[in-house]
Amino acid sequence: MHLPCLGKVIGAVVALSVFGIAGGCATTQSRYEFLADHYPPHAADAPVEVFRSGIPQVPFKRIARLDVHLEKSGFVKPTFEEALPELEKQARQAGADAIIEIEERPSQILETMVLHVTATGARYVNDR
Amino acid sequence: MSLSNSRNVIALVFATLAMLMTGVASAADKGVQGTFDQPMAAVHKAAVDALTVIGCTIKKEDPAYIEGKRERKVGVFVGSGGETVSVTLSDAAAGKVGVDVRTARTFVGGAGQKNWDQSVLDEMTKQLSTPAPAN
Repeated sequence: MHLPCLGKVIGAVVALSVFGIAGGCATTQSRYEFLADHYPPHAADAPVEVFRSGIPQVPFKRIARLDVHLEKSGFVKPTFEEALPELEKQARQAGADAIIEIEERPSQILETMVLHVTATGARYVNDR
Repeated sequence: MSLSNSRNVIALVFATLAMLMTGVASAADKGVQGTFDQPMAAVHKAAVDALTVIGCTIKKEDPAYIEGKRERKVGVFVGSGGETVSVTLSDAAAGKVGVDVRTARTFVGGAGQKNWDQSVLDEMTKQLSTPAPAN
């Protein structure tokens, strides 16, 4: 075996690694948990208000804890914007009208970058 | 580079990759233990929440035992995930609840896995010491 052949082997390993980054080394887990009473889910396209800070100015009730967990390998950082659609989905399934008290927790495990988002699903007391 | 040298280099590369993939077999996990002066139901909920925060999917959930597994991720070098983390609850003295948190790592992919015992206990402590917001 000559050096050019070794180069092809190394090239193949690098290509596989790049393919690995591009394809499917990101995971998303999510869930909601009612705090007390259970509520029916909202429609999949129902609007959900997101409060990155502050709380709704109308009467509301905290009804669910929402969790979204993102992990990406290859030192690629997951962002809140990537977690938001799943957060909204969980809020709708819990019957929430708004997402409040959002807490982002970034961390790292070697080459895997982690973002865990915890929030509270809020339901308006009066119909919208 | 001669044929034998090339083979040696390739063997070295694969040996290194194998080491990264498998890691070193870890010693048996002795776990971390704690006690909470809270009702069993509250400690159970905190355990489930803590496992969720570290990225576990709950696989078993009994009144006194919760087990979660972290999903495996392929990585450029080592990836991560695959650990099984368990929380065992028990009645302790004076109405308190004892917890025993343990992480089981696998041989394959061990280099990308970590021990979550203290992280889970810390998260449980945080949740159980945070008052619920008023509605």
